[in-house]
Amino acid sequence: MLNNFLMFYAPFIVLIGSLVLAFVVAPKDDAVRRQIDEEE
Amino acid sequence: MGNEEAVFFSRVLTETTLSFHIIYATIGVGVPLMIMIAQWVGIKKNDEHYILLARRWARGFIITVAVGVVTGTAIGLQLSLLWPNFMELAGNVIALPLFMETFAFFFEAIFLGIYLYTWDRFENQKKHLLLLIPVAIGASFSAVFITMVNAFMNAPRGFDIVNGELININPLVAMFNPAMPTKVAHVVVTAYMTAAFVLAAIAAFRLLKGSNHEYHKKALYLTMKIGLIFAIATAVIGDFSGKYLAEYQPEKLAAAEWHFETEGNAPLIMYGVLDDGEVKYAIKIPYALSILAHSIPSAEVIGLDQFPEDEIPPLYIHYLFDIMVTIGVWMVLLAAVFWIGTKRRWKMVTTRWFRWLIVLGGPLSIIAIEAGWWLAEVGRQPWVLRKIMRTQDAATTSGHVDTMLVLFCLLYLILGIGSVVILRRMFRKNPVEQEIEDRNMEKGGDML
Repeated sequence: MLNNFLMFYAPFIVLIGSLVLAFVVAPKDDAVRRQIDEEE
Repeated sequence: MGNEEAVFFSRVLTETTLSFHIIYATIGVGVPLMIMIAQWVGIKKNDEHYILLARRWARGFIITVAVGVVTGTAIGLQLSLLWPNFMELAGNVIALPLFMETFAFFFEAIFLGIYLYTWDRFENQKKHLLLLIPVAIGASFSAVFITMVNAFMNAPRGFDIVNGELININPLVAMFNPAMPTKVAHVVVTAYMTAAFVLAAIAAFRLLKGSNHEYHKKALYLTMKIGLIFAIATAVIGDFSGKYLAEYQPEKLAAAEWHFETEGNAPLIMYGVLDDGEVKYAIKIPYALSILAHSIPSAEVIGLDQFPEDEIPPLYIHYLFDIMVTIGVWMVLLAAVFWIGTKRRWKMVTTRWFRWLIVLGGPLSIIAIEAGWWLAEVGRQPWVLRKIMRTQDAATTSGHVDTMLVLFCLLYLILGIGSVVILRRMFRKNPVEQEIEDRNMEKGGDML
């Protein structure tokens, strides 16, 4: 039962989840902006 | 040329074509998403550096699409010319996903053209970004449909066999076969991951070569973050693939893991060499194969002892598995250290040697997908259509495959060198600093 879920449904959940996470995380660039400011 | 030679050269030619095509196809699937993310971040943060990233990536993307179209056409041609018996048997079943792949590509190509020719035509950048959504969807779904065909070759379903012919065909059952979810998801996330790490390698290279512009730093941070997310997703889906293999293609899993005897508490073998059937110098991770296959440490994993010798895939696929997994783990670690290091102001992540490691990550990611595809294809052997048709029975008997091999190798050489030369010239003649300056002037100096 668990294996069936992992084989047939979970791959798409992980795929879509990682896409959503990529869009959530992408705009968060405070760390690199701070790094740029410090180097200047 | 005898039949054995024809089979041999057909295999070499198909492997060469796929190995070359997969580089451009992977970038072609992954880069539209990266362009979309960059443009979206640029709009959201009102930061022209990200918008410029999207513009420049889109320009390079066109070259890879052009080469991908040529090599993709070559594969279609070779399917019919080199594997006529396979196409005769299974052509009716795989026709639907093959046509849908073509439609997905047209969908992508049409909107890509509109997207490229409408930069600066929209006052509202968000409307322009909308044009990129069908491009990214078309690119990803091309990969989805073609991988469905490959999944069908591994787990053929959706027909009855009567007198050696496939009848009562149900294309949807064939497309949604048991191999499809793990294969499709794995292929798509690895394409996103590879595109991110290749673009990260380019940004790191520019920083190493003297351009200290913040454009490259933002590009590096963005691509490494995205690469990390998809690298972790790749590893997780890779684990699901192990469970699929244990259930539906146990001989492939057993060959990849050098698992000779059926047993419980099975260890995972990493690295090592095979010497007269004996595994030497390997690292054995206790219970890991049982967990990978069935999520239970004590679970029994079917070994190669359960299969006739002529149905066992070549055992060198273990090395391919090692290469793929090692590079995958390395890239997760590298990207994680970079991300955390940038957040916590570690000096290490801005050093030259660390940036060289990121540059190396680009080609390494491509080697990983090559190893993964070889593992998938060689691991299916001796079958072209598992348990139904052997590879040797599917090939052409033509006596000119060796000539075709030479000609296609020449074509790939020209395309490979040509695309690299064009991309280098395209970006060298128009460096980032120059383009930012030009665009500043166009917009009256208030752009950045």
